[in-house]
Amino acid sequence: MTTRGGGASRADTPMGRALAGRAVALLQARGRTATAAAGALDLTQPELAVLPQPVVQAAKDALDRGETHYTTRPGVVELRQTIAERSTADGFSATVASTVVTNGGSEGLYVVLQGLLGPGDTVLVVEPVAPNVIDMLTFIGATLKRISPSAEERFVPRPETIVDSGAAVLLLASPSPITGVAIPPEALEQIVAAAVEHGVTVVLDRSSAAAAYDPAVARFPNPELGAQIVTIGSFSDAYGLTGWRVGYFTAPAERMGKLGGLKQAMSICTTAVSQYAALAALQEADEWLAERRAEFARRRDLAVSRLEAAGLPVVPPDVFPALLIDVRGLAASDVELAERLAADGVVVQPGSIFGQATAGFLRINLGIPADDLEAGIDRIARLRNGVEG
Amino acid sequence: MTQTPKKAIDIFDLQELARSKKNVISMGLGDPDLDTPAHIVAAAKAAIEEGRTGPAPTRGLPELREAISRKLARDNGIIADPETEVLVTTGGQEALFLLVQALTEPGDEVLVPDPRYTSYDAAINLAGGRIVLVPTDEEHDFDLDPDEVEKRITPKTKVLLLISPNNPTAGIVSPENTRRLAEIAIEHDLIVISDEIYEKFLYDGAQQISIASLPGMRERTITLNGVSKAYAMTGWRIGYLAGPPEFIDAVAALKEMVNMHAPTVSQWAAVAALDGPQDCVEEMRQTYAERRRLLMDALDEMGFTFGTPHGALYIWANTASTGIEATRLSYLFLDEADVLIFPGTGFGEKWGNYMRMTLLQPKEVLEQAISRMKDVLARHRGTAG
Repeated sequence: MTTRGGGASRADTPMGRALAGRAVALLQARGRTATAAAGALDLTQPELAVLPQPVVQAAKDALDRGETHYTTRPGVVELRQTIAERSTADGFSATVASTVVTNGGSEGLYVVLQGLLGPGDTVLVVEPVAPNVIDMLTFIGATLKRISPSAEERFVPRPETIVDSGAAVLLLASPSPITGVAIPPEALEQIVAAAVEHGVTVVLDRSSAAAAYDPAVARFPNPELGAQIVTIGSFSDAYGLTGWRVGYFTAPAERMGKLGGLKQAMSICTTAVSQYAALAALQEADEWLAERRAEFARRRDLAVSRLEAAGLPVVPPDVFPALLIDVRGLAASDVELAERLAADGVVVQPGSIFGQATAGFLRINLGIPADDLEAGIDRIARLRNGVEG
Repeated sequence: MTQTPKKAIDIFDLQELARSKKNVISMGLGDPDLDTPAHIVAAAKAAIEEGRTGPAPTRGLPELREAISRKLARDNGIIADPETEVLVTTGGQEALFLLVQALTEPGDEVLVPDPRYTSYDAAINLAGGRIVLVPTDEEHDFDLDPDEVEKRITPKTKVLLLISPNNPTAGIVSPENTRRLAEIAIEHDLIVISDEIYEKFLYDGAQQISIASLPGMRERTITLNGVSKAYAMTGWRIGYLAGPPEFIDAVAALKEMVNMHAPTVSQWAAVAALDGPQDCVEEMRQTYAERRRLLMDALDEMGFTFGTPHGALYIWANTASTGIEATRLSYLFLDEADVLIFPGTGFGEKWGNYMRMTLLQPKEVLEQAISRMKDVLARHRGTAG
């Protein structure tokens, strides 16, 4: 734990006194973030993807063309067109007018949540959920109601939990970048239908959709219903464009005025060169993505077989790069196990940081260098022997 | 779709209309027409080729924070530790959005010079803050009068916003007034946001000082800047904040929450901009200065009035003497002459006699726009008030 900022010595300065209370609270909440010691075997940070050549070329070509100015505020039209086509093909009908490109998927999510929720509004959050999303909702002042579906249910919330919740927004991710698990299309349809019927706006994080081992898991069977929800997308995990900060949201027409205005107020538009890189990723990187999926599938199979051989079950993932390891059978909590591993020089994420639903699980990223992955799994497997109840 | 000129026309309507027309000369958006200098683009391409495109720290690449720290010392007399007192943002807009969210609580009063860049309104309103307008006027070249500031200070006043050179007025806060404003800020324990995004564009020997460089001000000032305007880099989205560590810590936490970090390739481009040769900035300034002179002379001929535009990339022109209200004139310029100019009401409710003209077109295009505007005025002067 760090204690940067907010300390007594700093608070009594003009700036310390001036900080808004919710900013101070956020700062204190941020103190929980642990960082890996130098030289540790970090199983949470993926290695940098070697970008598809067409993406590299498109970015350089865009700069040569002088694409160094503001783009249209909601984003380059051809990129929005291509995103809308892909989204529509997946069963979430969208158009150029209903698509806004953002500086990363997280900016899109923040704009959407800030635009849809006010202080005191209730938001139903389906766990697991990333700490920065909880921070956003707390900062906005929304009232959180958490739903914690179990691993045995493959983290699928039951539609009846939405009924009479009084919530303004239902926030969920499918496929989940945390568990790697997709809600089956028919189950997702029932959940969305229940929400729409009860006047709850659905915000569906689809930032991992393109990272599905089988793209069919990320499709939606009811386009009419699919057009009524807000979706979030990203180019980070699937296309390895994390550092370029490009994502998007789609929303029904009646929401666009407010959400588009908020995006403009936040950052005017999204980085031009990043938008052209993203466009090339969608248009010219299918082959590269297929190879990337196959490589992750190999890593997944390796990791799963080694862990299961060591007596550690996993949650079979539908998307890369996450893998959840079930340590509920061990006589120590996920947090304790993660601490023990950290002391042993291995960094993993305890599932508890994403909420109750994933307590008792350790999360690793299959995108780490292949040698590290094997060594890390062996260390996790060894640890098991020491703590078995 | 043609708008009826009867209803109040806003910037959005004009942009819609402009999109439906061909051959529009835009003197609307504040996007420099000049391309980013070649050595900066080359640095970005090198980063892409060498694979320096991965995630960056939330506060920004260390190389960029160090370049910013050097720049602030060199140009502004501001000491900022790159480790703890600098934060890179996704453009100046994000910087202002996040810093306002970090500072403002419901009921807090923020002193905002009027007319104004209304993105500050959006950020302050979202945080529940109260905007307290401080008038500036043509007679004083839209300088900010410390007396006007001081008489609006209440127990709830938390922040004083300075934008110099100013968008939209092109005025600057004179060094003398800056010093008095610093004294007022210290006396009343105010935080100062100093938005210096247009600092590189000063004309006819005008000078300004960075308020954070004055005694006692470093601990209560946040300096906002970026590379968008100085290096014609609007599309790259790189801004930055410099201020006390406790403030930078809080905004960094917000930054991490909303979008992790500023785009990496753009950050390498910004390093090249700040550390590289600065001749390009002076060349751009001279280009804008020539255009400014051209437009000032033309506006004189047309009978518009304006405060001396000491800086920035705009002229804030008063149309009262034409007998045509500025919002209507904006519409006529676009409808009849294909020239897009934003009406003053986009920068504050009471500025119906003004329009903001940008210097962001080549000289020959500006000449054409001027000729078209003159034709419109000849047809309508004194007849369409």
